[in-house]
Amino acid sequence: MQQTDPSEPILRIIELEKFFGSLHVLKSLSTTIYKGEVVSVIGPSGGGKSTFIRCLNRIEEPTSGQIYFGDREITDRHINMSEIRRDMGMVFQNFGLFPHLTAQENVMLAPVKVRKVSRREAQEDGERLLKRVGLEDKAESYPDQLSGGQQQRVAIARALAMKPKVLFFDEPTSALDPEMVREVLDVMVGLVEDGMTMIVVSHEMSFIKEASSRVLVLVDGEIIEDGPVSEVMSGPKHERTKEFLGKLL
Amino acid sequence: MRVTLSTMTLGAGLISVVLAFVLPTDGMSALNLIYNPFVCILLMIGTAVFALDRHIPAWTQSLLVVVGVAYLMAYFVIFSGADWSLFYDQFLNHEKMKGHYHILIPPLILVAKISIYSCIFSTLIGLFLAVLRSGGNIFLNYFITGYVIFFRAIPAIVLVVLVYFALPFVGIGLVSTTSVIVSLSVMFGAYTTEVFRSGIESVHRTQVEASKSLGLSSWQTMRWIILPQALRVVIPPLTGVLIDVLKTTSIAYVVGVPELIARARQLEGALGTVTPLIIVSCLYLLIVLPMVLLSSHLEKRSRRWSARKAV
Amino acid sequence: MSIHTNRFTPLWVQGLAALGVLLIAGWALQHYGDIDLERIRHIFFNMEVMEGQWGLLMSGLWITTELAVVSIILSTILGLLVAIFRIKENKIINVLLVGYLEFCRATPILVALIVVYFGLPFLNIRFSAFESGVIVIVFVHAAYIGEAFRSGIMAIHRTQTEASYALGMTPRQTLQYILVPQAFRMVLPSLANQWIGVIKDTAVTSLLAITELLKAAQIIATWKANPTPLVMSTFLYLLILIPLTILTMKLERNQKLTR
Repeated sequence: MQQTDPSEPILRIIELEKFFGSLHVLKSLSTTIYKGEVVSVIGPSGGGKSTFIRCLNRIEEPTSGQIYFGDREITDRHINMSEIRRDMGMVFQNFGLFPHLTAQENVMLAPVKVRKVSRREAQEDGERLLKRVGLEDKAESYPDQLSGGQQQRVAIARALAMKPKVLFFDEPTSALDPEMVREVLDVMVGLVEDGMTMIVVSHEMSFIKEASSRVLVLVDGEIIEDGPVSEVMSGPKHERTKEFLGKLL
Repeated sequence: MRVTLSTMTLGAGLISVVLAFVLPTDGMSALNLIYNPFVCILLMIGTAVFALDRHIPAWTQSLLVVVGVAYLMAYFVIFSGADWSLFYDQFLNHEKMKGHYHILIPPLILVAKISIYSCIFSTLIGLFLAVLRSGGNIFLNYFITGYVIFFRAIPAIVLVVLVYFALPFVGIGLVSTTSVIVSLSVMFGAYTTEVFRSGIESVHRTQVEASKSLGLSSWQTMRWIILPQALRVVIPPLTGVLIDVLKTTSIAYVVGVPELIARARQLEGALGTVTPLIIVSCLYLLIVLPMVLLSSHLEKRSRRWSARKAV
Repeated sequence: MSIHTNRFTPLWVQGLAALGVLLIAGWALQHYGDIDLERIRHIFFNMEVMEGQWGLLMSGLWITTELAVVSIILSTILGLLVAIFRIKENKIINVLLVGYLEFCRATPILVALIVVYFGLPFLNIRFSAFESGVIVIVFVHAAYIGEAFRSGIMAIHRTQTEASYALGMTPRQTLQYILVPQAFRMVLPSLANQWIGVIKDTAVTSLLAITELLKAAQIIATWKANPTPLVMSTFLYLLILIPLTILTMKLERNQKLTR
């Protein structure tokens, strides 16, 4: 199981609010994520899970509230998010690979341009990462030559190339055919075993139950359950959670 | 400050500006390079790149752009020696124009006439050729494609000059107005052919097969199935071409047609002000702008129509 | 998707149409002129007339090339700039740019040229013929090119922009390495179309006091009272423009098929 370090909070979220026009999507969310945790965020569609995780690296702009990454307040208007995002990684539902670059180039681009790593070093790192996700022979392939599962694994390697402190996953397997879900989940489990701090929005019960250390249940923009997997799964406090879990299982 | 692309362009722009103020200005052609609008463009590129790279709030960005545009205008004022006091007298002189406005009406009607004739003829040619082309005859298609390529390639003014000056040598002497109408019709016929052609091709093949299997003849298929649907696809690009026709009628000036520009320059000589020319350019604006708006409106509506298209 | 070859017009209709066209052409030639090849050569392809004049024609061609190259480069750069600024969705900048765009799309090049070259001197702003041509052509075509780039960049799926930001790349880097390279590929047919338009519009500058190709041809033709120079210059224009037009049409077709 996970080795969480309760003395080192990585993300502190304080009264996060998000409105889309008059639609109140996130209602005063507060929670803390610690180093080494693997947090699964679950809930019914439209409950705000994706919006929540996208607010954490401000791809979606919070309407109000504070988010602290380490000891820096990243919701501050004056902060340069490009710098902060270097230490955060995100994996998207529809992969988001750059179609005009090969897999290897996709992985190498950000380290070279953003962290100013030398091309050679980036290439070695890239090869190593592609090997880790099992795709070293696809380094020269373009995204349209890869299957969905392969693309998502390249996307994970790409996010890892920046050596992030935390990885966000926004429904990483929802767009995949069932056969390919397993290969991506295996990679994610590998990351868990390496001690990566992860926040995962997903419906995959196997990952939630076996690999995550903590579960957040988000319904109608509110966190109604927040605790270790075993607790939430076996004895949830709210009716709504029971309802939702019932549908899921 | 790190040396990046943005700082380099910004620096180059600033250095050129400083040099422009410091160096003497008489006659040295090489130095004239620094006074060029190229410097302005270089500065603006640097500004744009710089503004994108750093985290700059929106109001600062707007400010930078406004400053950039102001620099361009200041360039006009300082380096070109412009005498802006003459602006009202030269460009918007109502007193001198009074009583002469109506002189612009016959040329305006003439321009309208040329435009309308050219539009109608080029549309008819395009429709005819596109339908002909869909017949699939290889030789005919090569011929039509050749026609389209030739008239898309040739500049309008070259064609009009050729028709007006060269044809009389073989006995085909056309009046200037007619030669303009003929050349524009034939030239834009090439564009309309392409437009109608893509419209016809946009109708899904399955529909043709379905209609044929219902027993409709080729002509009936074209008349009732293909053309109505093609028309929806065709209207936005067609209006684009027709607007082009309107704008290109100004070429008639070159061959001496008594149209708006010619009349404006006559007035300019008689009245001693450039106001007629300005009025004419505003006239063109007033006519074309509504058509552009209409065309984008039609474009949005046609998208709604094709969404209901049955396939 | 294969090319449409549905037989809408039966063969006999096509045959009749072709016959009709030939008959009309034949009648026109007979009625209006003498079908005399030697005469045609003497009028339109008279090489004696051209003797010693090729120099002027070539210098005209050179000036046209200068105009075209400078205008193409500048208008592409300006167009890219316009697109980049439009994408930022800053209200003030947007209003300014849309105003500029609509103004340029609505104004005929000839009118703008005459105002800039003949009208502005009344305000003491004198641009040379070359400068006037470049300025007008660049501003007008940059408007179209800007729109093309903008629609190209916006057509790229939003996830790519988000993925790029998520990796820590700045907006400028995202544009430079992700958005513009892809947009360029999509936008190439419209871009090529505009470049051809630039080359064609250089001929309109013949109205100003600059001896580009068309003007040179007109000078010789009027002096020798023979249209051969015009025909020669037309050939030169077509020599460059026809291959470009064919290339552009191929690019357009390519794009439609890969949709």
